[in-house]
This record gives sequence, structure tokens and C-alpha cells, in this order.
Amino acid sequence: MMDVLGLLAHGFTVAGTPQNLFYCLVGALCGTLIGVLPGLGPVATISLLLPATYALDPTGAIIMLAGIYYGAQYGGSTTAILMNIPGESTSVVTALDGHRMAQQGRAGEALAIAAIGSFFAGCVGSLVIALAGPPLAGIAQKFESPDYFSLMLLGLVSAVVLANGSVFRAIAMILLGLLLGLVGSDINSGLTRMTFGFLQLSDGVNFVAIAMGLFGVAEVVSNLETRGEKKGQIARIGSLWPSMKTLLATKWAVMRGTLMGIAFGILPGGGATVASFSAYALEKKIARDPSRFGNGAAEGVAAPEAANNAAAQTSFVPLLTLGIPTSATMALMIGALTLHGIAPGPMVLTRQPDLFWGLIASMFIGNLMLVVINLPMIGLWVKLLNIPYRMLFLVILVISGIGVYSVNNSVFDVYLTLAFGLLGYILRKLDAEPAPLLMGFVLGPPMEENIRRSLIISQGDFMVFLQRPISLTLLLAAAALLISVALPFIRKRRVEVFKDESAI
Amino acid sequence: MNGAFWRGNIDFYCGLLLLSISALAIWTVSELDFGTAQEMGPAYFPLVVAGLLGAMSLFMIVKGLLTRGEAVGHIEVRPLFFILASFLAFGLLVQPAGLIIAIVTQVALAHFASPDTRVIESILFALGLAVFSAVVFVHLLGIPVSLFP
Amino acid sequence: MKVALGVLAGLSILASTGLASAQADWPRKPVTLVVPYAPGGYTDSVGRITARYLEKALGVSVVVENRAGAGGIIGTAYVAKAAPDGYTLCVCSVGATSVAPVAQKTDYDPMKDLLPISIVSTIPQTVIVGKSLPISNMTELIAYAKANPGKLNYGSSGAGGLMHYSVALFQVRTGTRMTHVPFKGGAPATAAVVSGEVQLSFTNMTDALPQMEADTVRAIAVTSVERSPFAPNLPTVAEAAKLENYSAESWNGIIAPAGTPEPVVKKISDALAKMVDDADAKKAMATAGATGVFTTPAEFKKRIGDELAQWAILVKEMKGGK
Repeated sequence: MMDVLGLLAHGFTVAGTPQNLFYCLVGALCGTLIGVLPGLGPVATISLLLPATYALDPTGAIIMLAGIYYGAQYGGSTTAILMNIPGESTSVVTALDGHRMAQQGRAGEALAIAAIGSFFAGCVGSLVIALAGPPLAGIAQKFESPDYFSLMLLGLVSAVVLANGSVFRAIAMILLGLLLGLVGSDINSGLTRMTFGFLQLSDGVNFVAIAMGLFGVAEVVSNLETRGEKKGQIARIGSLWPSMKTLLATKWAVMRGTLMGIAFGILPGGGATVASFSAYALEKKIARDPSRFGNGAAEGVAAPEAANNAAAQTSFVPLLTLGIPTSATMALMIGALTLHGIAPGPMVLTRQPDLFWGLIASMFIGNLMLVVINLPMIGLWVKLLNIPYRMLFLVILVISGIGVYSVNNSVFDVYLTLAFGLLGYILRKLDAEPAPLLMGFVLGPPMEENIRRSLIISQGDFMVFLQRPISLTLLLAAAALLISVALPFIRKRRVEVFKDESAI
Repeated sequence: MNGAFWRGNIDFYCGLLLLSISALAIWTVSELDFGTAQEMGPAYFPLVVAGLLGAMSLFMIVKGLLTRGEAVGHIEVRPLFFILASFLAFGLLVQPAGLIIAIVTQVALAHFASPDTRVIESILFALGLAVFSAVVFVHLLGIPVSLFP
Repeated sequence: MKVALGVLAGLSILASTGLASAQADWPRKPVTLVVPYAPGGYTDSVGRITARYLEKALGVSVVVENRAGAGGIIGTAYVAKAAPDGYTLCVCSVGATSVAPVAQKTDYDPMKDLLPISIVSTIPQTVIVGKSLPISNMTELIAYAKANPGKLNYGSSGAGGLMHYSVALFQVRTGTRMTHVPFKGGAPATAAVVSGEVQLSFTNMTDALPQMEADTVRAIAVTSVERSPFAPNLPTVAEAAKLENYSAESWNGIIAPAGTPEPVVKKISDALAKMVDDADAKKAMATAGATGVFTTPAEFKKRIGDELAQWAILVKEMKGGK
């Protein structure tokens, strides 16, 4: 423990040099910018800015790139809250209550809660890497295919919880999402499925296109349609700051979100997404009045934001201690380190202590910088909402268009956004929610991949999911959650049925 | 038959939409190998998912036919058409004509999506957004797209 | 510094005025180097190292553009169709150039639509096995696989990739049968060997090296024709398993669209010939686990032809076997 603190102190001397502080600031600023702009995510930005880091030393470079990554997590919530456009799978749930809060004139409050929750989670997450990085990585390594399958299943059940309307429809939307997620190449056979001959679909539907279409574009269309009924109208902006009461009310939500983020963040493949969805689901589940969720509940912003930021920090654990990337962004970090002459792997900790501890220390500094940058910005963002909607929607449209194009420099993705905008609009009219669909979309591919791999290895024995303790625990959790969701629904239905009968 | 059937309700149409999507999915993967539980083929998982979705959508259709249910909300064609058209225009123009023209055209079409827009404001926003995108996306972030034809 | 720049500028003016044709003027604007894979991977690293060097050598900026998708096919097809003016080049790799055209449908014929300029790096695969397995060399691996048909699971980066086909070829040649467990990319497949979920894989040297150093896996051979300088103690599969001509090596090479003018190709080729000896480029390649290489356009083309033939036979055998 003492030597960890000593090493961390050494890390601060590395991260605290003027040039490293500068790189950290540049990274945090870039990250905030691209996080706020929908479309362009950290992967695209880091690859664009990678050449700019050639001139830096490896530690400076990785500090800057890491800053972009967690900075983007801060910025991503801004667009989700203000415009209902989730740029990343982790901010989908933030949009649910965050945007409702903005519509109620509580945008400032939502943004502040998101920033403060993220800051707390980021610091705790960094501390966890410092204190327990290697043992945590060891736990992550215990996860095998059956465990991942069960984890994904738990994630899907959480997606049912976050739906506001009927459970039946939520499940149908998840299945639709799963189906959309399966478009593209099948890794087991190399064949493409459901691509209708489009080569551009062979790697699947672009997440940004589907999220922007279902949320952003569909939202603009239905807002314009209801102008007369002033549904899209944003209420008068209330106070910029959350009251002490609201802040204290979200205290536990932030803590729980942080814990979930830390736990899921170390797992490769969709860990951060599952973390933010489950954090939201948990809050809704334990809330005294779950109907507040989806109608501007502060905890619905605080918990998932804390979770995704904690996960953003702990996702560095497998990278730094095992050399295993947990996401596309982390794969890019490996590439960056390689270009700087460092082979990431189990030896980084002993061979490059400056880099390891400097990076962790920079995460504390970076999180502090982000909260200092972001809190004063809230005033500015809220002013943006004062622009009348007849002009604001033009901004949303243009930024969405260039944003989705910039992800892969692909016109095809622009057309996809259009198509999903139409689908999203129709689904809205049919009272079907897009959030569970997106969850299915994100979790579908890893779910299929892991169930197939599990069964190849177990030679077709389904019992493998029950025999492994981790998998069994996750399955039981999923079953318990599902029952707890379905019970009130079934009870309510029975009441409704009786009502109908008595009406006849 | 009650009136709800003829106007259609959200359950009925939602079921219809999902049923056609799952039928389409089943049709496209039907040529692929189904495989066994041990060696799932590329069609296994999609067929299971699409089958479940199809079953649920049939249930929705039946429910929609049998109960009064909520009617589908009013659909206004104007915003839908112009917003989608503005996206299409952006996609068609961005590579051949460059970013500036693509954005200006996009805003010009979107202008007609709402009766509230005002010509002067839209022109100003079109130019402002074109300049903003050129500076931020092309200049700062280095997106490989040309500004002019 | 200023003097050097002045001299350089003077030289380039001389060079550009001395030669009249537009092609000889090349390059006059930034060159785009298409990487047909997602950023962060091994090909991406090689592409960026090459771009960095070419920028110095050619005096114009060389922009890396990632056009990922379909195992490299999308980006490669994009370059095959690009204008053959030397301003769009590809950092192609063995998968999309030599394997995919025989294993699946591609929009391009590598022998007709692409103009190979030079291989810039090669990277062997390493045969790694889990530490808990009683296998420490290739002979034992073959014996174990023969005694337990179908019991050994090998991880790959996905069906049809080199990590899959190199094992498939090995099985055909040795008469063994192992179970294929595809992963989404080489890194998770390697991680699965470390955790013991699968027993072995023929993994890229880049992914294998850090694990070998940390002693989390046992490396028993390399798949290249010659031993690798990164692990000189490891025999090749060909020598250790007595499989003549067995070779599965990943390469990355600079390829232009067919029809690119000869003088342009020569300029690029000359620059790449010098890159092999460049200290910075060498060091960067080494960290990526790759070896810098130079080939003439003719040698490169012959190699692609040979590989296409080798994989075509394998694909036929695999289809026949089912």
C-alpha cells in the first residue's frame, strides 16, 4: 500500500511536468470538443491526431491520447442531454432522462450532475487502477465465453427495465436490435449475412448512423411536427445549478454507478455499455417511484454517467497489465504505444514505470481539468438552448450529417442515418422505444459470438452456462431481474383485463 | 368489427412492421447454413432471433385486431419529407460538390420542413454552419473531404 | 537548417523543371495512403511508419486514411478503382490480396487490378500453446493432435484469415484434426491462449512477443520460411515438423492501382528501397514485431501469384473435405 502511494507520488512528478500538463490539457480539450460534436468518436479522433504525437515522448503521447478518450466521455453527455443525440453507446441512457430534464428547463442541472458524477467516478476509477490494477486484470482473465454470454444476457434484461412502456414491446425492440446487430460478416464462417449485397454493410451497421437516426433525426422530425402543440419547446431555463438537495439525492446513485463502471469496465467487449445500462436499470429498480425515470430523474443521469466514466478509466487495466485491448479505442492505444517503441503487455508495469504511473496520475489531473473546463461551459450550453428551435434544428441536422460522414468518410452511412431516421420516426408513432433496440444492437454480436464459441468448446453442451460459477451467478441475477420486472406488469395486466371485462 | 380495426391501432401496425422485418431477415438468411447447436451455422442465431420476433409480432397483430387499442398518431408529411430530403442531398453532394455546397443545400431543404423558419435566419445559419464545419471538421480535425467542387 | 531547406527547395525546383511530363512532377500534392483496416492494428502501424518515412523522402505530406471493412477488401477495392496517378496508394496486406480473392468474392483481381510496388514489412506467425499443455515442440504437438483428434482447440482472428488458414494448411499437411474457434481479431485469440480457453494459436508475432516475454504462453515455432530475428531460438514449422515449403507469413506492401505510370512507381520504389536501412523506420518496425523488407515490383507480383495458387489449393481441399 505504502509503495503504491510512493509510486503514485512519483507518477505525479512525471505527469506534473509543464509539458505533460500541457498535453493532458490538450487531450482533455480535444476530447471535450469531439465528445460534444456528435459522430466523430474517440477512435476516429485519436487516429486523426496520432501523427501529431510522433514528436512527443511516449508518456506525453499516451497522456494526451488518454485525455482525448475520457474527455470524450464527458463531452458525449452534453449532446445527449441537449439534443438527444447519443454519440456513443454509453451515453444512450444519459439521453433518456437528461434530455427530459433539458426539456423541463433543467439542462444546467443535468449537465452539472453529469460532470460532477463523472469527476467523482473518474477519480475513484483511477485510484482503483493504481491500487488494484493487476489483481483486477487477473479477475477479468477468468471470464471465458460462457461468462460473457451470460453477462450480455444480463445486459439485455437491464434494457427491458429501462423501457417506460410495455415490457412486451421492449423485448420486441431488443430482438429487432439484435437482428440489426447481426448484419454483416459472420466471424465463424466469413460469410456475410443480411447485407443485401452492400459491401459497406459487411462490417455491420455503423452505430453512430443508427443512434443518430433513431434518436437525433427522428426527434427533429417529430419536434417539427408538433411545433403547434409546443411539445418540443424547451421550458424556461431554470437555475443553472442543481440545488444541494438534488445533489445529495444523487450521491448514492453516483457511488453505485461508479462501482458498476469499475467492475464492468475491466471486461473486454461491451463492458462499459453494459455498465451504463445496468447502472440505470439498478437505479430505476430500487427507486421508490420508478415512474420518475424517463421523465427527468436526476439519478438517471448521475448513475450511468458515473458508470461510463469509471469504466473509461478501468478499461485501461487490461491494456496496461496484460496488453489486451478491451475496445477499438484501446486497440488504437496499443497502436500508438507501438509507434512510440513500446510493446504493451504484461511487462509495461516493470519496464516502463514512468509511463504506467505517469498515466494514472495524469488521469486524476485530467479529470480535475475536465470538471474545471466543463462546469463554466454549462452556462454557454444552456444559452444554446435559448436559440429558437426553428434555427436550432438546422444546427442539429448539419452537425449530424457531417458528424456521421466523418466517422468512416462514408456517404453510405449518411444514407443509413436517413433510413434509421425514418424507422425511428415510425417507431415513435407506434409507441416503441428506441433505447432497448440500441442495447440489443450493441450486445447482439458479442452475444452470438460467445454462445457459439462456448458451444464449440463445450461440444454442444448447454450445461456449460450453468456449470461455471461466474456464468451461473450472472444468469441468476438476470433471472431475478426479469422476474422483478415482469411481476408488476403481469399484475397490472390482470387488473386491466378485469377492467375490460367489467366494461363489457 | 369495431372501429379501431379499420383505423388500425399501434399494436396492429407495430406487429405488421416487425413481422415484415423478421420475414425479410428469415428470407435473406434462409440460404445460409443453419448448423447444429455445437457448430452453429451463420443462419442459426439470426433465425432464432427473427423467429422469436416474428412470433411476438403475430401476437401484436392479433392483439391489435381484437382490442380497441391506441390509434396511430397523426403523421405530417412535410417535416418528414424535407428533413429526409435534406439528408439525402447532403449525402449526394458532399463528395462531388464539396462540403460547403452540401451543407448550404442541406439547410436550404431543411428550411421548408417547418413553417416557422425565416429566410434570412436560415441563410445566415447555412453560411455560419458551413464555415463552422469547414473550420472544425476539415481544418482542425482533418476530415478528408474537399470544401469546394 | 535553413540552408538545408533552401538546398532542398532548390533541388526540387531543378528536378521539377528538368522533367517536363506531369508524371515526373509527382508528387505535387499530398499523397493518400489507404490503410484497409481499422486504426490501431498492425497494418495501421506499418502504414503510419511508412507514411512517416515517405513524407520525409518525398517532401509532401502523406495522409493515412483508414478505410476498414470486410477484412481489408473494402479498402483494397477502393484503391484498385482509384485514379492511377500515384496519389492514392494502399498499404495492402496478405489477407485481402492473396487469400480473400480465392476464398470469397472480391471486386478486384489482384493480378490485374493492382500494381504491387514493394513489400515493406513481413511478420511471421508464432505457434503458441497454453502453459498447461504437455507440449513443448512441434513433434509433440503433432503427436498430441493425432492421439486426440478434435480435442485441441485453436483460436483464430476469424474465418478465412491467415490465423485460420495457416492452421488449416498445417492440418492438411500433417493429417491432424483440431477444432477451429474463431475470435473477433487476433488479440482476443491470443488472450484466450493465455487464459487457457483455447489450447493454441498461430498468432502474429506482434501479439505473441509481449506474452512470450512475460512467460504466459509457450512459443514453439514460427511459420515463416526462415527463423525470425525476434525469436532466433524458435525453429520454423517447416524444419521442426519436417513440412517442406510450409510457410504462412503476413506481409504488408505498398500497392498502387493498375496503370500507375512507370516513373511514379520507380520513385516510390526507390524511396522504399532506402526505407529498409532507415534507423527510425527500422526501430519502429521492430517494436511492432515486424521486419522491414524491400522487394522489386516484379518480385512482389510473383509472390502474390504464388500465394494465390497455394491458398487456392487449400480452399479446394477444405471444400472437398466437407
